[in-house]
Amino acid sequence: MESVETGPPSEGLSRLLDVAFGFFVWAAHFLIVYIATALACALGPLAASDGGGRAALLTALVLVTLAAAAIVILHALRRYRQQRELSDHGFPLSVTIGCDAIALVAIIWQLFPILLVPACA
Amino acid sequence: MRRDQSALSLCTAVLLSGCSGRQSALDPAGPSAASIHLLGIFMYVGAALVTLLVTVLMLLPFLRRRESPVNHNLFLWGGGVALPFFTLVALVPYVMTVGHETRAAPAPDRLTIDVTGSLWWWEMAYQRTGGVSAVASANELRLPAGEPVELLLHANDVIHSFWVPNLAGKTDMIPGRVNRMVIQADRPGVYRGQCAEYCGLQHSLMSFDVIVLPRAEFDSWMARLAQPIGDPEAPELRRGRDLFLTLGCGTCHAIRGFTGGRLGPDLTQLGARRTIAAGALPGGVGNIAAWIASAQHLKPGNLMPSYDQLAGPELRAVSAYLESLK
Amino acid sequence: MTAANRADATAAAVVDSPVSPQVLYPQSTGLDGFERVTAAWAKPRPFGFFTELNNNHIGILYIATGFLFFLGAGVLALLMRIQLAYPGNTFLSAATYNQFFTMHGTVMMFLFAVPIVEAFAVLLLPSMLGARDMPFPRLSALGYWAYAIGGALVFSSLFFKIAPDGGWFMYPPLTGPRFSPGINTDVWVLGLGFVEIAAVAAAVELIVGILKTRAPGMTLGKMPIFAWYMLVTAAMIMIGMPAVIAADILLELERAFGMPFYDAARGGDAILWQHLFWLFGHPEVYIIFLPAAGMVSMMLPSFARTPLVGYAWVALAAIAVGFLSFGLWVHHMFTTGLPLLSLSFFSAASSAIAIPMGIQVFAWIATLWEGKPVLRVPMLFILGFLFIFTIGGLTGVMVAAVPYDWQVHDTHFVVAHFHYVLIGGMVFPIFAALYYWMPVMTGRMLSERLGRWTFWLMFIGFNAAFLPMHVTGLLGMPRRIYTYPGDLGWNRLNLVTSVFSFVFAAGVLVFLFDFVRHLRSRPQTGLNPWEAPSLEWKAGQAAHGFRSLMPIFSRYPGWEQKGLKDDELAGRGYLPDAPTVEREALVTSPITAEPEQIMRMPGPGWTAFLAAVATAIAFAAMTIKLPAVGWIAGFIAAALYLYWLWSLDPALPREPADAGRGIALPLYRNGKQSVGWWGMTVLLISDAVVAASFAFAYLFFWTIRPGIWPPDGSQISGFREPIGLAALIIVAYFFFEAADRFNQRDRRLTATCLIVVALAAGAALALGWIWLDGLGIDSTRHAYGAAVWTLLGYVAVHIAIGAAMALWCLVRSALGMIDPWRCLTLRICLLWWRFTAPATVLTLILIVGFPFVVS
Repeated sequence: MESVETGPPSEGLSRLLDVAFGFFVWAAHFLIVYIATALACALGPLAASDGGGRAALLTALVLVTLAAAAIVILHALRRYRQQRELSDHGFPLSVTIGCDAIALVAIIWQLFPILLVPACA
Repeated sequence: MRRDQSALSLCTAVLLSGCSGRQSALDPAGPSAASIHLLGIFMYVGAALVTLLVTVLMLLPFLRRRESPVNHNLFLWGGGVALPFFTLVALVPYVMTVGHETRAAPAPDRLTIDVTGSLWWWEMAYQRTGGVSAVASANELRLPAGEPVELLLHANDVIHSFWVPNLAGKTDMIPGRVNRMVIQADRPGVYRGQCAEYCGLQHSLMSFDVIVLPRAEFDSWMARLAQPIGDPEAPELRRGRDLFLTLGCGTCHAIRGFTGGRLGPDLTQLGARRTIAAGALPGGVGNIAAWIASAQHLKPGNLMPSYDQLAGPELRAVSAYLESLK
Repeated sequence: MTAANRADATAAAVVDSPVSPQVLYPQSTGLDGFERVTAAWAKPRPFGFFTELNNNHIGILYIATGFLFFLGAGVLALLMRIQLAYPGNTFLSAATYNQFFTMHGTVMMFLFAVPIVEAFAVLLLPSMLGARDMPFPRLSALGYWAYAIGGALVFSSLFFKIAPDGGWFMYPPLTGPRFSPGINTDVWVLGLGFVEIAAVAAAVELIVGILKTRAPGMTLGKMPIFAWYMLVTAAMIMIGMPAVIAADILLELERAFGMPFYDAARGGDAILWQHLFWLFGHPEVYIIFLPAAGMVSMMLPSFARTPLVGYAWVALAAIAVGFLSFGLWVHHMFTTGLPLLSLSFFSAASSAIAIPMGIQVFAWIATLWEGKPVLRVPMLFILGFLFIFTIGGLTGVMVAAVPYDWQVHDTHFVVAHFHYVLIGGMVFPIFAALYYWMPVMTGRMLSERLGRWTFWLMFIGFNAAFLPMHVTGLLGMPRRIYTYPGDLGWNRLNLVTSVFSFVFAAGVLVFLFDFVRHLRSRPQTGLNPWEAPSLEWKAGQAAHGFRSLMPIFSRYPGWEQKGLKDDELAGRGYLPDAPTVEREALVTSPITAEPEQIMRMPGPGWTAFLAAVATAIAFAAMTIKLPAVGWIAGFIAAALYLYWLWSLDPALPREPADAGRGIALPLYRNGKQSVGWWGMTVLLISDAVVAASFAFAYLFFWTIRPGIWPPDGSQISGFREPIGLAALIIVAYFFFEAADRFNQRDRRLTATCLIVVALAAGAALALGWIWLDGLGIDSTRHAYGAAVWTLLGYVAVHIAIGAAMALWCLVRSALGMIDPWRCLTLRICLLWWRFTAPATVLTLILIVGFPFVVS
């Protein structure tokens, strides 16, 4: 007898986790920025307060931040368009877009310390 | 409301009764503590306002019947998002600019002091220029007023933390790492520092005095500290000095020009210290004697045994000798 | 068609339509069905206290036990405050004081705070979700008994003066083998082990329970807000707990075997502990707070008499807190000398969490404004919570500022801060919850008059005791000191704090008096004194809760679905009967809650209780150095676990069974829809975090001294053996996949595949041992060696378990207990391999490839 495996496709784990997509991007961004700065300070290229090194790191981090923000915004827009088409999945999609919004704020918020604090002090 | 007022008046009374103190963050004597204190005042005012707002908002529905419909968005977007967001946008950049002086870049001609935390005492070693070795002292930190001083913080055994609230925030002393901190005292005076990371049985009795002197006095003090202690003149003191050697005190304790032990605090200027046993007791010959005779009773578990087998005259001689070291 | 009309129409349809004759176990909506349900869920006599598994029983025990620990740890605090009332006081010696403050923190955080919020979830969630029980009753019971027995053992260490004394977060090297040679620290690790078992068990139960056992029709958007909070909390436990489990394992390895993870002299670092501990420790406080906030969100609509404002916002805020709280941990380490840039990063993140917190607070206030609130005792406690927690949150923003924290860290200021957020944010909601849900627990109401006394004594006592502590800390008083000099201006403040802490305690005493007194009145059934809208008020006091499981279409079914209780009692819901007099539950889909399966649940039994006792004795005996007792108890425990595991995946009919309301559902699912599959997935995610923590430790050691790697002079020479190892594991994994495929067609090939799996795994273990032995890496000489051994040891344990699983499936298959239909066991073991194989390969790449890359 055939094994009964599949349920309705919208009920899988990935569908559930999509609600928190923005936060997964936030987590990845956080790890990348934190590890990059920690390594840069530990391995010395930034420790000498070298202006060029710091500017290069800062630029890279700003670009990573913009990329993460863009990914989250695109995801939110896509879900928003889906929400306007469907009528009965409104609630999960609202929460999804809300999560994307807060994750976006958190991602950009992390730029403050990067821009305002001297590296590796 | 009743409870707001009672809390507020308690607070005010307490605050007015005395923020000053030898170990008080509310009585800054240096630029770092001062900038932190100012930041604190801003945050307190803000916090008090927000607390008042939330309290009033949560009590109003019980006091008044509301007829018009409630604007959910005002609460959720206004209170939940805008209020914290704009407060933080104002606060966080300000915060990010406070406190950098303790992490200032090293400067070549700055006085540098190595502070090492052990169970349960402090060693201070003042570095000197010209290739000369550092001058050690213990349980007391002397600083010149008005200049930044570089501290290199070491830990001998477990994690300790160096904290002089009147001057700056604390920095941990972690085994295997050297943390550096730039500290500056502007106001001459006597302050107190205390270990601020739980380090075992006698963590509570691990403090040190901080004596801030004008630069000239500081220099002359340091010159004296570096001098080896000469032979004492009085016979009682000579007897005390000999006992210091024969009882084996020199194995643990150093006295400049006499013994070189480093397991315990350096005793070169013990007589001049305001407190002994890392702040556990005030100084003076009586307390020195008490400490020698019953160290385990006064600070159980510390590494110095009680020399309770000493006869009275011997104890007096040793104590008098140590008290004469100034 | 409104929700109410829809429910009525469906109910009518059920009564009229007959069930198909091929469907098994027809369910009767009559009185005989009701009697069978009652009989199936009845509490057994005479040992029901130990053998009953139902969430009502376990939940009440859990809450009571947590509260007892609260009282115990509270007494410790009072004794400490007596000692601190005067400078130079000698009421407690230094050694005793240090044990007291360590135990106060440890018991409060690990034996009271987390367990009691889990306990309320265990008690209330199933009925709130329209279900009868948690999905894994024996696991629930195991978690509770392990916690109760283990916690009691740890608390009793106080009476033998061997209580832990390193502070509740036990920083090494103070707690390492050199400076804490006694068994005090090991007692702490032991206690934590039990809490960890209970917490991970709870996380599995909660996630699976919330996603898979909701009432039909209760979509994610319709479930009670408490369920959202608990889902987030359980996910946080799943990710956060393993970090401290890993830290504990490393600490015990250092203490017992000399592996120098935290010893700087041998390449280790005390900071590693701080990272791992606080990676857990910070989410821990939100694990404590979120359920309390969830309970407040459930209670408020009853008192405001209007639905919660901003339901979606609040769910969103809970998710935000859940994620963002993992990005804050370094704010406990601001004074450790880390680079200012890293610190500022965490400072910004720490303050950002004020936004989702603010959203919740203003949603609650808006709800009060929207409705016509009544000031009953639970509402008083909720107002107290809002006031105290707001202050705590604001001082939290202060300590989030790095330079400010440099002054107030490790002083009484931060002690005041965290007591404000913990007592305000958790204890006050718990008291509100006790007053509110007491009718659900005991069928009686507590006294309004005494409740007001309790509240005011606690509120005034708390604020008057802890508000001055902010000042005390700023005046220079560090924390964790047993005495202080009399000339620093701290005397009066300490006396005030000490006196008012007794006022707070008096409030708790009044509550206890009220509780005992109220037990003497007669219980009333059908009590809903708050006219609350949620389903736990519709469940009876009996274990089955609901006679039948009604479809739910509203967030506030008590208010919006009229006649719900009558329909439920009349058997118009699902499962109105227990045809085989066994306990049955309904499994539904995660998002839209479509019924998927009828789940037969285990009835009362001794297995879980005895397994918990045996495990407790085994670990305790090892801790107090009685290895013989430990081994014997360990064997008994292992036997019990094996017996339990063997009873899983029982033989069930293939045909669908009647589920009531005219539908038939399978009794068994063998894939991604089964609760067992979900449970194993949650467990493996936690497992992955432990592995990631070990990998983090390895990489962390590299950042300390990045120049020379390996730093102890050893060499990872050659790629032959590691590639061979990886190949063997990949082969084993593919054959297990093959075994699953073949099981659908030709069972003889299944057996062959499983044998290959076991052989390949065994060969991998042998090859691994030979390789590692040949490398000559010493696990005690340098932290690097210790990390390599730990990583490979961890992988080896997983491979060994994987091999055992292959043999287990082989035996069951030979006995006919695995076939193309009944294959859940095989699939769950396959999940294990789906984790173990990549984990092994990644670990090998790290250990072999990383030194190659960085040299």
